[in-house]
Amino acid sequence: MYYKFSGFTQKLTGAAPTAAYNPQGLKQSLPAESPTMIFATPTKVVSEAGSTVEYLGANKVPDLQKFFQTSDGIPVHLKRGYPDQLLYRTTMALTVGGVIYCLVALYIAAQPKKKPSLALLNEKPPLFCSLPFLIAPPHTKHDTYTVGVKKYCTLYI
Amino acid sequence: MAHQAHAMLYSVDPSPSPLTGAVAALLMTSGLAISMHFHTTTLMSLGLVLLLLTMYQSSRDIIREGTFQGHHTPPVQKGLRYGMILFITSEVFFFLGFFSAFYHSSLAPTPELGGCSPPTGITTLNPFEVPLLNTAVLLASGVTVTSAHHSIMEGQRKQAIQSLTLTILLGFYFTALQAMEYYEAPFTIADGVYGSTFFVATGFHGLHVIIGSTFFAICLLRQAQYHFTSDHHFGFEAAASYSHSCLMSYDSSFTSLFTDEAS
Repeated sequence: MYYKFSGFTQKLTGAAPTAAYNPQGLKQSLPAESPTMIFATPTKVVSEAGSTVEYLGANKVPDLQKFFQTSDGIPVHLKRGYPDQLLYRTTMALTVGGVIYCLVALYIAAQPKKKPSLALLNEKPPLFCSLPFLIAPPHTKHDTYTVGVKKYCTLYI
Repeated sequence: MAHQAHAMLYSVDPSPSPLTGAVAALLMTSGLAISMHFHTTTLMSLGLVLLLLTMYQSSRDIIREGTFQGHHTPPVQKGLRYGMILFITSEVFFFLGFFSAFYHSSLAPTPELGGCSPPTGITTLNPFEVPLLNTAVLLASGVTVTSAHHSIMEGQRKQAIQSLTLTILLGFYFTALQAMEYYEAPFTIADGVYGSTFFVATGFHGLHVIIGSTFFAICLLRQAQYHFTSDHHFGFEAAASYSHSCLMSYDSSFTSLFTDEAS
């Protein structure tokens, strides 16, 4: 256990070795000793494998730097291999598919509306026709559509 | 000197992200229009999914180029800083448009509104209740983000992680409070020009807070993975600048949109 003097609470508080009560921090070359403090109940012993305490994992940046700096001509968005390719292909498929779907939807939306007749209001589109299934049939009511915000009162401004 | 500076710049590899991002924008906007006419959100949701994919891949690529491949030399960083400053300035002007819309209608209220501001029939929110709390929450997050910045500059890993986490939690708290205010508000976006300007301005602001929280969450993951050094942590500084500008715009809304009487 390492201690430092906390200026905020004016008491000794626990600290990492680098911030311990020595203005320069603990010297890395000296092996630090941790005496086992035995209390009535068993306590954990701070193992002294290294003089730095890992907080949320070890530093993998140098390895990643070596990996990404290999000059194999692969662009950076595919450098990791298979996971990158999978993500790229999925995104591209959604992009191309999305553009086609968008153009078709806008084309359908641009068609002039048929004049409403009693017969038409009861008509439903064929079941297996995919596009009208994806875009709701035109007989749905418009007046009950809200933007999801509670309607309290509307002023006719 | 110019030759040396040129050697420290780099050209990015060809990337699909600009195309996928542009298509995401197309799908979201057309999808919004389609959703209003045909009551189906498929196209808009597809656009949102594509946007999230683009955000993930483009930020992943920038991190690879900067942190792992070392391309973010000082001249490159300078360019990134200019870019962020210009982008934030454009966002400020974006909000100025909404403020000018509000003041246009509130400083000279028309007879149709009752000739007064706030308009007749509008029950305004008390600015000293939740809006004041929201202001305090955002100001507190400004404190925690400054603390996180200093911790990063001092090389204090644990403190930086804790301050960043607190910043993100405060951002989420703001969003939750604002969502509750939206639900409980006695007026809606359909309630004349007051409702329109109020919800569009605060709505875009709330979206920016969510963007800021997301940016900080990415910074938190990067800080935990040792990406930031005490000298070089531009991603964090960009997120902090963006959030500070968000905070400023909320302070301005607080003094203009939330008050009971127009100035």
